[in-house]
Amino acid sequence: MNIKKLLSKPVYNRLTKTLLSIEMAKTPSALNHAYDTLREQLTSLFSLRYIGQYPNQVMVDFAEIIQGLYSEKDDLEGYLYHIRNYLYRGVRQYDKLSQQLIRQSQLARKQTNIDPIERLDIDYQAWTYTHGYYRQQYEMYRYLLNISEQVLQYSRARGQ
Amino acid sequence: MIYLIRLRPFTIKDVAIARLSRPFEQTVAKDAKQYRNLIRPFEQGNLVIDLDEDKEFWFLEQIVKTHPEHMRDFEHVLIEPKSGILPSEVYQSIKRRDETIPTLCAITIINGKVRNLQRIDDHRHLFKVLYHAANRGWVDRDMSRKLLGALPDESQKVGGAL
Repeated sequence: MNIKKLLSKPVYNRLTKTLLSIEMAKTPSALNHAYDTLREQLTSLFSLRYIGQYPNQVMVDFAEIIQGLYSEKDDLEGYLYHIRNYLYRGVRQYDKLSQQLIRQSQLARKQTNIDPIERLDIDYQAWTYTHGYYRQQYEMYRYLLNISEQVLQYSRARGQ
Repeated sequence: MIYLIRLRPFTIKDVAIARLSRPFEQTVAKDAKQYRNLIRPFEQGNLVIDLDEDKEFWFLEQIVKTHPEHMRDFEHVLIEPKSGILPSEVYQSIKRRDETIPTLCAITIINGKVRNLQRIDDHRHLFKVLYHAANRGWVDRDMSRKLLGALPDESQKVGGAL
């Protein structure tokens, strides 16, 4: 990952254009095309293998934070401070809720008289935290925390 | 084996599924009536499952089991589902056959296990499913050839959506 490239204007311009096209897309095919473009742009920027497999909304959140690195370059440390706080909050919330839902799912498995549809609800909610959407979001938060740490070090080294 | 799950009878709304792009308009369906032709090989091979009341819970279970990790809210089957939808709400939608429920889904079952479940959005998707099934010999090849135009020889390797 090239930090200098992440903070560059061409990357900012490309991401802005794609994010705008996602927002303005009127047809499902236009929206899918915009998501594919964003996926390509992010996979070319980062070496992480599964970045292209993020759910669309997670990918957009990720791109918006990366986009902010250039637009907030005058106060990069302040921006990173807020972003890191936001990410830590997300990680904490994930930890809390995932434990709660996994426990709930384990308890439901022990109960014999539970309604099968209710059991599906509980299992599905736990699954979203162990494998599904919220798990992907959590992984994105962790990865962004890693990136923000590197950007912070780069910014401090440049300042000195 | 690929099966088609029909969740409701075809209506005029399904004409969108049958709308064709230029390369195929000579050979395949142009309206909802002809769209039925595309599923006829499946019907002949008993590969169409009509979703009765007693199969609704089974279908719901399959939707939940086949939920892809990179998607949210059962988008692989439901049409524009609301955010944070739960299986119990999906079940209610299936019961009502509301607008989030597609008309047709393709389900792939290998060794008795469901591997893939996807809604069929348009004729292109249905075309691919039929193409794939015909090449595997799951449906009548001659009938499929008439519907799809020339199919490649069985020896040729064919990629498919499923």
